Amino acid sequence: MSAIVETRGLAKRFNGTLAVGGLDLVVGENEIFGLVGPNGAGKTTTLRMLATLLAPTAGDAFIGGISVRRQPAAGRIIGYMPDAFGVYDDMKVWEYLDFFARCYGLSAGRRRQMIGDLLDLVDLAEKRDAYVQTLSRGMQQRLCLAHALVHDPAVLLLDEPASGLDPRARVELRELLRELRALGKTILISSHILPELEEICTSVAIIDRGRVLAAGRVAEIERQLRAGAVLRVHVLGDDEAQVAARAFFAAEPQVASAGLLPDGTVELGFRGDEEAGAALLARAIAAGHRVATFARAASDLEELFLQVTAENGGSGDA
Amino acid sequence: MRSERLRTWLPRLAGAAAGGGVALLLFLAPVVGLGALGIVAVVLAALRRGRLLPWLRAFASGIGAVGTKELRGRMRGRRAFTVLTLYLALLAGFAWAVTEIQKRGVEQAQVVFPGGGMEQVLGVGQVGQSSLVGQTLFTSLLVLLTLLIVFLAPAFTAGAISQEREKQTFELLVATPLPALAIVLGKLLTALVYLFLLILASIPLMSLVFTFGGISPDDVVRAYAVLVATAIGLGALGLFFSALVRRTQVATVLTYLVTLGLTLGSLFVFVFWGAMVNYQPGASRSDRNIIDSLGRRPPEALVWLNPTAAVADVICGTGGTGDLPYYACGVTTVLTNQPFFGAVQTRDGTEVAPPQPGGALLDDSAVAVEVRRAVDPTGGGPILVLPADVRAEPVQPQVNPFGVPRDKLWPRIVLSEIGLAVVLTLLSVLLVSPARLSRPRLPGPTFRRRAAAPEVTR
Repeated sequence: MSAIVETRGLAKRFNGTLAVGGLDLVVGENEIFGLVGPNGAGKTTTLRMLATLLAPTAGDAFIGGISVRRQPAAGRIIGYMPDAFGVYDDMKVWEYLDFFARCYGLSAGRRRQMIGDLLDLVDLAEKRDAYVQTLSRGMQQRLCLAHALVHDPAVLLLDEPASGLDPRARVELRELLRELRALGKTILISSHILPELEEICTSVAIIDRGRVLAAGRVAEIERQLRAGAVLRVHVLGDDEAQVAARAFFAAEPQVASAGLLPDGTVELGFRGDEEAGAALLARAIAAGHRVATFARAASDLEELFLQVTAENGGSGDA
Repeated sequence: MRSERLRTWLPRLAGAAAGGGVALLLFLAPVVGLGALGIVAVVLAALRRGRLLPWLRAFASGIGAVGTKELRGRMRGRRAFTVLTLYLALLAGFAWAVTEIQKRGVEQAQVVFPGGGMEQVLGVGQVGQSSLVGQTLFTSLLVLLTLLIVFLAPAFTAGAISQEREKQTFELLVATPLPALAIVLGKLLTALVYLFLLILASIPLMSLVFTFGGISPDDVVRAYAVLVATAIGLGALGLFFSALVRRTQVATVLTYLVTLGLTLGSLFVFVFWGAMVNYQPGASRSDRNIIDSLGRRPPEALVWLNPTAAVADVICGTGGTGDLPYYACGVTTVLTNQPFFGAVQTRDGTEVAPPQPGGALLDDSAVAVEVRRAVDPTGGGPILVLPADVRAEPVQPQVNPFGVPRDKLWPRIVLSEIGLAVVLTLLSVLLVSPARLSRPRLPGPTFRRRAAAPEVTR
């Protein structure tokens, strides 16, 4: 899979404040790439630089091999949907799309066809003649997504597309993104709401304070996560047996911490991989502990996120 | 008989046709000028990157896109046409009132001076009565139209770009490959198109003056040239502030403040400056003082961006005989540094020239011996006294406007306003260009961010 978006040491400074500091990202073709980070991490700045709206202070980014510093050329390959966007008053849905299609210099015939196709795609065909400001938030979000697609860009940059949407609209948006991926688009999506990204992203990059903390395929990151998992071990028996079990685990070299929860579960901070986990379980059973369950705590991006950002000195909440 | 009629009508027709042609040219000239600006920018861009055609296509489709969008919004429904109708009704009512008042004035004068002494009072002969109505109508309509343009033009453009920022549609717009020039010019032209519509719609009403006479077609052409240039200049001013400031309210206030400065402010400065250089402590108000001070007048360029001065010049140029032309000529002659004298008398008090509109302009052959009154900028003017041996020959009031020195001030103002529009448009383009999105903040009540605080901009 070849890279379609690549940043090399991409940096942006605002009045001396570093917003993005030397970002190196590679996004493969036809991926849904999640950009995760707390507020103020530099997600929007990164996306705006990719959308050619901000000139990088240092470094460069390439979209389809074209530097973002070459505004009109790079701008034609990307479709950008900002975090906060408004709609024009006094404009009908089809006119809204028609306007942006004209901005990209589409001919009248192509515009007509494109508008029909896009309205079908984002499921707004019956709202064609409605005024834009009468649409619900979710519909406006889909319309804005459609506007980013009028020139059939290869790469979509979506900044917090799910913010302010109700759960149903989020599900619809997710389906829409999958559909777009099936159409061959590469999608960069930023969010601080992690579960959403987890379900649809093929790759994620966790960024904080303008730096990448972890990046890669979701499965890989999860594997990395497994190497530093929380294990929950339920040991049968009375309090004494459980205290003994805790002492046993605490003495193991790969266990960073061991605590006893009120319900009798021993929680372990475990540094080994799955092989090491199996070996630990075998030793515990051999030592006579009656282990009823031995499981990793459900690990998701959210936990990974908290873990990674915590390791790096806390999130930079602005 | 037929040839005689032809002889009277042919020049009129030719004049009207020429006037129409010039009017069309003057209407088109600014648009062509702005277009030429676009071409210069395109050529520069093409020279730099060697891709003229794509840019040209993007520019054309950009103007089309922004223009279509703006006009769709502006002309939607009945609003635009209701406004136009109300505007015309207002204008027509005003014209009717002015005509009635003027007619009554003439009738009253006939009652007071049944023997025909009204010529002296009104400064016109019997033939001139109708032309007096025409001139007053023209003058009043022109003043009203100027006021409308001065108030409407900034309002039409002061929100053009700041509203996009406020409604958060600006990023969507600049993320497209639209050239910044296309955005700015598209916004300016669509705002101007509606203003031009208002201006053009007043032409039929304005042509009423031809039924009364006293105004020639080229007067009307001058008037519309000034109106159009004013609309362009002030429209570009509003657009510039709209691009500079993020908030529409602030942009509107700034635009009106600068407009006020350009109109009343520059006149005030001019008069104040003039009064200051005329004042010489310890010296008597002798003729030498005034004659000397003529060389120390404030520069005329002070009012080159002042639409009211241009209107005054146009009104004065008509050679009209009402009060408004009289004051307009006072303003014009003061602004253009022409020595203006309310009256010219011989030493024994014989009036050489009655106080004419435009003043009795002193030609070089007349040697002044005394000036009896100080310069009054409102148009009264000093009384110039000539040696007693000058033949006292009453000067006939001029109904024909072509004898009055004219076209001194307004063409400069029109050119300056269009030049201002070009400069402001270019500045707006810089402010709108994507690379300038993170432009330096304007000085204001901002506080320093704590050094330890992480970046706020995501």
